[in-house]
This record gives sequence, structure tokens and C-alpha cells, in this order.
Amino acid sequence: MGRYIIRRLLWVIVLLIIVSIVTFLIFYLLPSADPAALRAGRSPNQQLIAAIRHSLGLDKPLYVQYWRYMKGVILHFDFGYSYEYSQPVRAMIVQRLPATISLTVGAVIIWLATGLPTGIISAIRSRTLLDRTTMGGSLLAISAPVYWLGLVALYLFANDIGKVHIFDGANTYTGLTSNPGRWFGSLLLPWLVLAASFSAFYARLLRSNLIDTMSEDYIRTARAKGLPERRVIGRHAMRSAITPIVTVLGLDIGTLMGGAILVETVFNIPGVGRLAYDGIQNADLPIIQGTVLFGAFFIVIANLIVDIAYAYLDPRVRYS
Amino acid sequence: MRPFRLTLTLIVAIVCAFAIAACGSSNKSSSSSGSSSSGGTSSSGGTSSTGSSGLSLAGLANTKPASNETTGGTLHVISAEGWEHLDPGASYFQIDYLVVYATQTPLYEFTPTSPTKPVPLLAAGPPTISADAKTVTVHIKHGFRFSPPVNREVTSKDVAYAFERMFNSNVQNGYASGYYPIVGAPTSATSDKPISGITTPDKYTVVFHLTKPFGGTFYQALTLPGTAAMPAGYADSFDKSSPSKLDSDPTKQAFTGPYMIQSYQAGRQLVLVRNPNWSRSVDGVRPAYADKIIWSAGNDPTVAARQTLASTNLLMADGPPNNVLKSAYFHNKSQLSIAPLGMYYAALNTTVPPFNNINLRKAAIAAQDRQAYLLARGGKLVGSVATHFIYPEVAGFQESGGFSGFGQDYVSNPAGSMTVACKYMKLAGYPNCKYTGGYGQYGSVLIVGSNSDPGPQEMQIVQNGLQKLGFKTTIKAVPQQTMYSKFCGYVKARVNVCPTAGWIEDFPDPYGALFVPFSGEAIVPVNNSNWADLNDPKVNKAIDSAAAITNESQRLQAFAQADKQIVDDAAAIPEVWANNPLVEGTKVKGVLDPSNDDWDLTFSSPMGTS
Amino acid sequence: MSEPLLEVKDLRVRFHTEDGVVHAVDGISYSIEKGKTLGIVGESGSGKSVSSLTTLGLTRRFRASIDGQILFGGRDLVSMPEDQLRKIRGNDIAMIFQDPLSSLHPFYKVGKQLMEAVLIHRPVGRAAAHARAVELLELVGIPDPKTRVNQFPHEFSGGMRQRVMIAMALANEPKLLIADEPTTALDVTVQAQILALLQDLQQRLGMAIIIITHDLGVVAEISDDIAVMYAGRIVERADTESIFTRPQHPYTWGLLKSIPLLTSPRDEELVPIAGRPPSLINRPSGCFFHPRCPYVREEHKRVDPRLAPVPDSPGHSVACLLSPGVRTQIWQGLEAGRQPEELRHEYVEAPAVPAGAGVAAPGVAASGAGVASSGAAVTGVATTEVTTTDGADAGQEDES
Repeated sequence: MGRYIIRRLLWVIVLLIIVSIVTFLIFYLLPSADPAALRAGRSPNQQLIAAIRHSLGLDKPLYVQYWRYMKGVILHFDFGYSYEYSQPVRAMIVQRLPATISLTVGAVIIWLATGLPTGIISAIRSRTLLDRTTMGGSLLAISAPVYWLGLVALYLFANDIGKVHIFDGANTYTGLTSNPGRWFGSLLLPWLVLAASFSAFYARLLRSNLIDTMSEDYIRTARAKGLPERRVIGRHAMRSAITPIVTVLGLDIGTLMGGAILVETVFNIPGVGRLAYDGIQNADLPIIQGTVLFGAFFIVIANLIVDIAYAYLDPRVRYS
Repeated sequence: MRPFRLTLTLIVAIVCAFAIAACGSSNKSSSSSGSSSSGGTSSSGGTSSTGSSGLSLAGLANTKPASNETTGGTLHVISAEGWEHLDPGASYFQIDYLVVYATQTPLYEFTPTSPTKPVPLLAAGPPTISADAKTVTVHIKHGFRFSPPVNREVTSKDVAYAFERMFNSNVQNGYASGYYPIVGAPTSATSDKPISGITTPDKYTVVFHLTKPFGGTFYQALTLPGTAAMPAGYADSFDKSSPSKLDSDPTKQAFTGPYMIQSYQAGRQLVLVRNPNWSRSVDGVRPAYADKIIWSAGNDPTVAARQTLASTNLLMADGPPNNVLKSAYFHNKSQLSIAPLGMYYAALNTTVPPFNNINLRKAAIAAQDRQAYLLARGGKLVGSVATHFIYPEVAGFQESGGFSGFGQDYVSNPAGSMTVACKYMKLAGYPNCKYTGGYGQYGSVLIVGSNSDPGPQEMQIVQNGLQKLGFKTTIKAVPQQTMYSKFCGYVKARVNVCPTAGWIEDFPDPYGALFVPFSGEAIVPVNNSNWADLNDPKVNKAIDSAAAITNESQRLQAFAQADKQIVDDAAAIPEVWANNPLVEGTKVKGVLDPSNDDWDLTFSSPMGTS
Repeated sequence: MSEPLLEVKDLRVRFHTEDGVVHAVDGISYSIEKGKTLGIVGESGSGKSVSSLTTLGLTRRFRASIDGQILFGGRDLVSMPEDQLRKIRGNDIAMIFQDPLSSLHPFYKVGKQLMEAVLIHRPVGRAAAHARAVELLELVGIPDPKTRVNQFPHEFSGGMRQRVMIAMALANEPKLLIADEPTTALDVTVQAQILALLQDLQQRLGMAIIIITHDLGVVAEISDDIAVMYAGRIVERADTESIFTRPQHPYTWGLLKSIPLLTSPRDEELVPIAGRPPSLINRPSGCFFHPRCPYVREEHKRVDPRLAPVPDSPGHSVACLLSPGVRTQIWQGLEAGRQPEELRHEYVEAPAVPAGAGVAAPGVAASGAGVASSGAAVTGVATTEVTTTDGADAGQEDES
């Protein structure tokens, strides 16, 4: 197992390098904007543009720029300076990280707490009215675009612009350490909005897995042993049905750590996703590069963790 | 169960339809996103209505300063856009001006009560301009002081340094060489050396020696933020970095305005507090009612607009999206301000076929349904159909014929006129009114525009008009920044039509409205703003000679002639004279700075009027 | 005869499905005594598994109508409440299934599953349960049980896994073990081992075994009695020796003749049973087996035979409309290697049948044994025996 992990970690590095090359190439080959021109303002004199270009290192050949960038990343963990804000990218990302983590963790807890029980109950009572109602509702939740859902949620429930004043509105995020109460209140609505489609998805996934699992032979054996139904479902069926859920959960967390752009935008939460979006708008390559690498890192690591977890959960996989 | 699933599908479809509608409308971010620059906007005398459309302004917010405004309180500002440059030497965008004019002190500024005539701010009075218009002398007020840590009084040397650093590439100023033709200042290069043409005979006097007779225009350009005094011994160490650290960390600046930047998070939040070294009596212009200003950026425009309308105390610094604007017009009129902003036009490249032929240009303009542009942008609330290139808030609008303009036949009919178009097609040598000639490097008329609303619609409108005349057209929609830096603003790209061109004047003098977009002398290879590549010696000369006139009414007449010439050259399709709507909370009193067409934070009071 | 351990009385199990009512078990009765082995034989779809699943109440969760009685120690399992029935499952009555790989939970160690079987019925504490698990593995002949108890099911071979299942079933020393196709998924040599194990355990623990299979070869070894099921009914029941030496039902004949024997002549063809098992929703009219029976007569399509005792064979009953004499003759013919068509021609369509060898006396037949046939017996033997299908005469059967 140890050698397997080490081999996977080496692949992580290779993957990240490939991601960084691709991002670099896309930025330069597709007609984006010219960062020097963006900074220089209207009708600058040409030496100004040249000077800006030089200060941003844009006058060097591509591979030199790339090499300097990667050297900085690998040796010093330095992701360069934002073209737009002239601030170190690493610091900007680190500063945004708590908000993204807050958003992700809260949403995960909510969607597991709502989606899993719903899935279980729907599976047990499959084909009843209750089941059809929950699955129909979940289909709606999955189909609703997150951005739209966020707007609707604000217009219904925000205490500044909503019809019913329940939750804190947009733009109220404060850090956990500075004001825990406000931090929590400001994230309630974003958590619910972000969790909605995931909760529905997990409910459906668990329901179908559980229904499949319940028809397995070992469930029949468990019942034949005289186990109460609660235990049959809770210990035997769930143990099998939960495995794909764990896999998907790991991947979802990995992806969300790259930033839930739409939710962060609607609610103005200063997370990494929003930073990435701003970077793209401003043709700010260091920010784009930094957030993409950051996101890629999390996804790749999440994949690795999920694979290891899967081996732990399903003993049949272990010795391959 | 079939029926159940069918119902479900219907519900999902309806939901998605709402989603698309919501997404579509929320994509129409603030109408000022059409151009990224700032400038001064003002209503020149007599623009009490927003245009010939006859839109009723009754009941809109009162955004004029009032004498009974309450001092104290915290002003809360929200915006979608963040700040670009908060260093006054680099600052060029509308949002940035709100901060810079509140924290620094340029020589002159436009105020809510004097929207087209510069008001002496750091200067003690109007400048003295020599008869040959080549020397400009400015006296500055006594008693302005820099904030901590510099603390000392502002002198003429600090004004000189402000100009000097504008030519330093580390400060990244884009307009200095165009507006400040000072002896000894670099014109096509940058430098960080003192400028020989600026002399400081005494502690409170600055003399500018210009390379050409430009005094009248130079005076107008002294309202730009780059003229704010910067402490020589203190700022130069920061200016050694590229970009200057005074831009990347604006809290390090030494402030002369009523407020200081206490904290700054790029793109997110800004907090301004009172400058202890500022004195209202010395300043004499800015009342500065609020004790503190907290500004949160990066909001979603639709949400922010609604929050502002539902609030008592918010000011939204950028415009509301169109759907919210319409709702506000009907339901929250007293919280809505609509004031002219700038104009939009579709530049026609005059250097490559087919539009290097003036008759074809005129035909193209005549065939356009220009009302469609107004509708694409949002209709009457958003402005009116344009007929020439000096806009309602700029001085000289009336001299150019006001809303009806000069009367050229190809711009007389807002809905377009095929008769007129065909007349010019015939003159161009196409008696059937259909173009059969050649094209430039793209093999067709290349139309490049922004891919966010209303860019695609505008490109469609252009295409429709051109296709009526038989032109082959290609549309390319790209992100706004790409459009600026790689296509329309990049001369070598030789794009035929750029329909989402927009211009807000740098200052409400016609020079600011006409020079950069239409003078051949303003053409630069990258970040060009003369998108038509117009280099008509008649136009260039008209603008230059008007710029040299000091007498105000003569200036305006002369610029009107330049404007007429540009229309005669058919360099662009005049689209819309646009408004910039703004929204505010119910209690806060937002005062409009007409030259910037945005709130003036030094005149607005959070606690309203007593 | 001693008191039966389990007595199934007229059990009917019907499943209500979208396609109709499935008559999975249609009125079967059997019993088994302590320490004995009953083999239930039939094809897939004969209802053999359903009847034993119903014994443990494992068919209750489906939309099933269950009628009849299953008496265990005097108590009726069909009407017993779930929580009481649960106390019996895995305790007094245990069941093992066909595929031990899928029947054991793949994610839990074998020891844990064994311990669970113990702990659910006796609160003895984990250490004791663990010891018992090891003991059970030893009991079923798994080498090195202390190590193996911590392994996962996929680490065992097929035969070993089935031993584990058996161990699990024996955890609480059940009085009755129901084995549903226990050797079907195993290869032949392992089959023999498992059967030997079951016999050995039965002797040691004195438990009754019901073994369900489609393979007569399996039950030949270890059953005391055999019940042959077809389309939800028991069509023949007897002790093992009688079934193999004196089978009375054409289906049973088919089963026996389709077993390849080492001792058969090499050129002797196997005689398969033509056709497929009938739909349990729309069952054939009359005798359920008639579409596939080589010896069918017109009457068999209308009359539904009931189980009736076989003369001169105690404890042996069969549900068939042919007379015992005819049946015996046909079987002797089959044993001699003759073909069914021949035998049919000779015995089933023959014009004269000696009196006494014909239809059984009406009174002796079990409930409602085809009133029409007894009627026919009264009116005239000839009429009954000569009937052929659709008018084709006796003179025309040489076409075989």
C-alpha cells in the first residue's frame, strides 16, 4: 500500500505540471486580452506599454516565462504577482481560502444530513407516494441552476431584500475569527443553496444504491439469521451502499475546494472561486494560473484519498 | 407512471425557463460596462431632460447638493466592480475617481454645482494663460497639508512632482503625454526625471511652459486626478517599484483630501476615514459630511441593486442592471438618478476596404436602424439616439446643434433610410444599391464586439444594416477586454467595424470628447482609441486649433466645427447618447458628480438632510 | 411415528405482480421429523425455494398472500408475528443458500459475521462469541480456523465458503437446517465433500435437514424422503428408495432418465423432458404437466389430478391420472431402455386394459381426485383409455 501511495503522489506532481503547461498555453494561444494593455489605460504612449510589458516579464519568450514561473512555484512556493492588483498571488489565495473552506464544509454537512436520510427512507419506502415526492423534488433541485437558485433564495428569504426576513442577505460574510455569529448567519443561505443540488443528487444516488444492495443475496442471509430489519439496513445494506457515496463525496469536496464560483458570486463571498473568476475577467495570468493549480491540486489529492478510502472500505479491492 | 413524469418534465421546463430569463437579464451588468474608462460627465446648461425622447424626469432622486445636509455617520457604498488604480497618478476609471477625488486634491475639479466649469481645488483660482496660450501659471492655496506620516504643508514642488511621476512608467499613467505637452516632458518615451518645463518660482506658484498653444485645453485637463500634489521626498521611494507601491498598497499614500484610505483589500473592501490634517476652511469646496466610508466591492450587480433599493443607507457606485432599472423607475423613482454619461458608436475603419470609401461609409450609416441600438441597450431610460459626437453633458453640445445635430441626411432619420443609403451607394459606383466590390484581409466586413449584452445585439444590428446593402459580413464576439486589447484597440488587426465602441469624455470639454477618439494624432498601435483610424487633416487641424483657443465660447464654436467635420467624414455610426442610472437607499443623500456621472463621496451625506 | 418437527399444511403462496397473480406454491403439504432429511426436488420455478423461504417468513415483505399453516413445535409460523418469528430465524431454524460468495457480506470478516449470528440470539459477550466462531469453523472442517476467522469471504475458495455458511447456520444449534441448492454453485468433488459434511453434522447434532435441489443425484445420497415439485405442487412423494426404484410420475421419470449414469450403455440416449416450465400465472388447464407429458390423454387436459397414495407402496403418493398399473409398466419399459413414444403407444393408447389395473377406486383418491375420471371408470374403461387427440385414429401413430 505504501508504494502505491508514493507512486500516486508522483503522478500528482506530473499532473500538476501538465495542468500548468496547458493553462499557460491556453492563456497565450487563445485570444484573451493583453495584460499590459489592460494595465496601461487608454491611448498610452508606446513606451509605457513596453515598460509595463517588461515589468510583467511579458517580453520574454513563452518558455522562459513558463520556466521562471515554475521555478518560483517549485523552489519557493511563490506563485508570482497578480497583474491586476500587484499583490502576491499566494497571499491572495491563502486569504480567500477560509471563506471557501467555510462554504464547502458547511454545505457538505448539510447535504449529507439531508440527502442521506432522504435516500434511505426513499429506498425503504420505494414506489410509495413519499418516495415519488422526494425523488420528484430532488429532480427539481438538481435541475435548478445554482445561480438562479441563489437569486431566488435571496429574493424570498434574505432579511434585506427578501419577502420573508429570515436569513442574512448577500455581502454579509465575515471571517469566523472576527465574528463567529455573523460568520454563521451569513453562510446559512449560501450553504442551503449550494447544498440543494448535491443533497438531491446524493439522495437519489443512495436510494438507487440501496435498492440494488437490498436485493443482494447477503441481505437475504442477514434476514435469515434473524437480524431485525433496522440492523439489516443499517449495518449490512448501508455498509455496501455507502461506498460509492464516499467516492463521490471525496471528489465533490475536492472540486468545491477550487471554489464554488456561482454561489460565491451571488452572495459575494470572498472565496477562491470568485478570485478565479475575477482573474479571468482581468486576463490576470498569475491569478488564473494560481487558482487553477490550486484547484487541480485539490482535485487530484481528493482522487487519491478517495482511492485509498475505497480500498479501505471494500476489502476485495485491496490486493490488486 | 407516465402522467406523473410528464408533469415533472413540464415543471422542470418552466423552472429552466425562469432560470434562463434570470441569467439572461442578470448578464446585463451595469450599462457603464460598455466602456472601461472614466472621465468627466456633466450636464451642460439646459439638459433638464434626458434627451429628445421626452422621458419624464419628475420624481427622480434629488441629487443636487443641499445646504441642510447632516454631518456625521458612515457612508456605505457597494459596487460590482472593484478598483483599478487608486494612485492618483494612474487613476483613470470611473469607480476609482470616487475614491481619488475624496482622498487627494487635484489642482481643479468639477463639482456638483459646477459641472462644466473647473473649480479651483488645490489651485487658489483660475490659471493665468498667456496670450500665446503656451504658458499657464497656477497659484495654489496655502494650508493644505499631507496626512501622516508626511504631515507637512503642500508646496508647488509637490505639484511639480505629481506631473513628473505621471511620465514615469512605474506609475502607469495613460494620458499624460496626450494632455500635458510640457516642455521637457517625454512625448513618446517615459522618464523619471524632473521636467524642465515646469518651474516653481515660489512655494505656492507653478508655471507650465507648453510646447504648443494649448493653454485653454491644458486648463481643462488640470482637473484630472494626476494633478494631485504628491510629496516629493516621500513618494519617490515607492515610485521606484513597478508598479508604484502607492498603487498596489494605496494605504501608503500621503493624503491631502478629506479622507484617508485606512484599509484596502483589492477588489473587495475599502475603508476611508477622516484625514486629521485636512481642513474644510482651507479646502473651501468639499463639505465631506460622512465621518467614515465603507465600500464593499465584488457584489453581484442584480443583488446589489436590489439591496440598495431596499436599504436606507446604501449607495451603489455602478449602475443597476436593466431589469432592476426598469423596476426602480416605476416603483422606487425617488431612489433613482438618471444622468447623461457618454456615447456609443460603431466605428468604421477608414483605412481598409470597403469603408475607406467615404460614400460607402455614408451609405452604411444611412442604412442603419439606429433606434435599434437604443432598444438593445434598454430603451428610453438608457438614453437617446445620437446624431453627432459631442454629447449632452459636454460643453459644446448646443453649439453642435443639440439633439438634432448638423442635419446631414444620413443621420437625420433614426430608423434609417434606404433612399439616402442608395443615393450614396450610387455615388460610390454601385447603381443597384448592392455592394459588389472587394474586401480587406478578412474577405468580408469583419465586425468585432463584446460577447456580453448588448454586444451581440449591436453586432446583429450592424450586420442587418450592412446586409441590406449587399455587404458580406462576419461577426466575431469576444470578451470585452479581448476586444479592446487584441482587436479594436490593436491597429494592425484592421477590424472593419467595432460597434460596441464607447467613449466617456475625460473632462467635459469637447477636446476630451473628440481628440482621442477621432484625431489622427491620437492613433497609437496598441490600446488605440481612435477605432476608425481616422486621420483626416481637416479634423486634426480643427481639433488642434480649437484646442488652442482660450476664450470659452469661441472654443466651443470651433469644436462644433470639428464635430461637424467628423460627422461629414462619416467615421462612425452614431448610436446612443447614454445615461448612467444610479440607485441609492431611502435615507442617504447621494449627491451626483455630473462630470464623473457617479456619486461624489465628498458631497453625499449618510444621514440625509435634516 | 414420532411427532413431526415441521409440518407444512396446505401451504399456498401467491405473489401479486403487475402481470398477474403468480401461484408460486399451490397447496403443498409435507412434514419432516427430527433428525431426518427431506429432499425437495424440482426445476426452477417449481416453487421449491419459495416454500422454504416462507417457512422462515422471508416472503412476507413481498406482496404475497400466504395461506395454510406451517407448524413448528406446535406453533404456526405463517400467522406468527414478525418479532417472534425473528427469534426462530437463525436460531431454531437456519437456512443456507446457493451462492456462498454472494450470500456472505463481502465487506465484513467471516468471524464478524459468525459472531453476529451468535450474538443476535444470545448475549454472550464478544470474547465468547469469537471463541464460538472459531469453534464453528473447526466444526465444519476449515483448517487453521484461528487465522481464517479474520479473513474476508473472497479469501476463501468456493467449497470453503459454503462451509462457512454452514457454520453460520449452525451457530445456534438449530433443530432444522434448510439448505437451498447448497452444492449447485460448486464443482462435483466439492459437492461430495459438502454433502458428506452435512450428513456428518446431522448425525452429530441430531438436526433435521430439508435439502432443496434440482439434482436428484444430490438427494439420492442423503435424503430419507423426497418430494418432487412441479408448478407449485408436489406431484410425487416417497422415501428415497421408492422414488428411485418405483417412481410413479412421468415428471419423475423424466428427471431420473435425464441423469447420465456411469453404468448406462454408451449408446443409450438421455431422455430429456421436452418443453419448459409453465407460467405460474397462467397455468395449463387440467394436469399442469400435460403439455410436456409424453403420455398425455385428452382427459388430462381437463382434469386436475390430486395426490393419491400408490398401492403397495407405503408412504408413497403421486398426482397422476394414469393408472398405477400403466405407470408401473411404463417405468419398467423406461428402465429397460425403451423410448417414451413406444411406451405411450403401447400402454397409453392400448384399447383394452385389464380390469383392476385401471383407474384407482374413487374413494381412495385424495380430495376431489377428478370426478370425471371416476365417472368414466363407472361408465366404461374402454371409453376412457382409448381417447386420442383430435380424431387421429389409433391406426396412425406409426409416424414416430
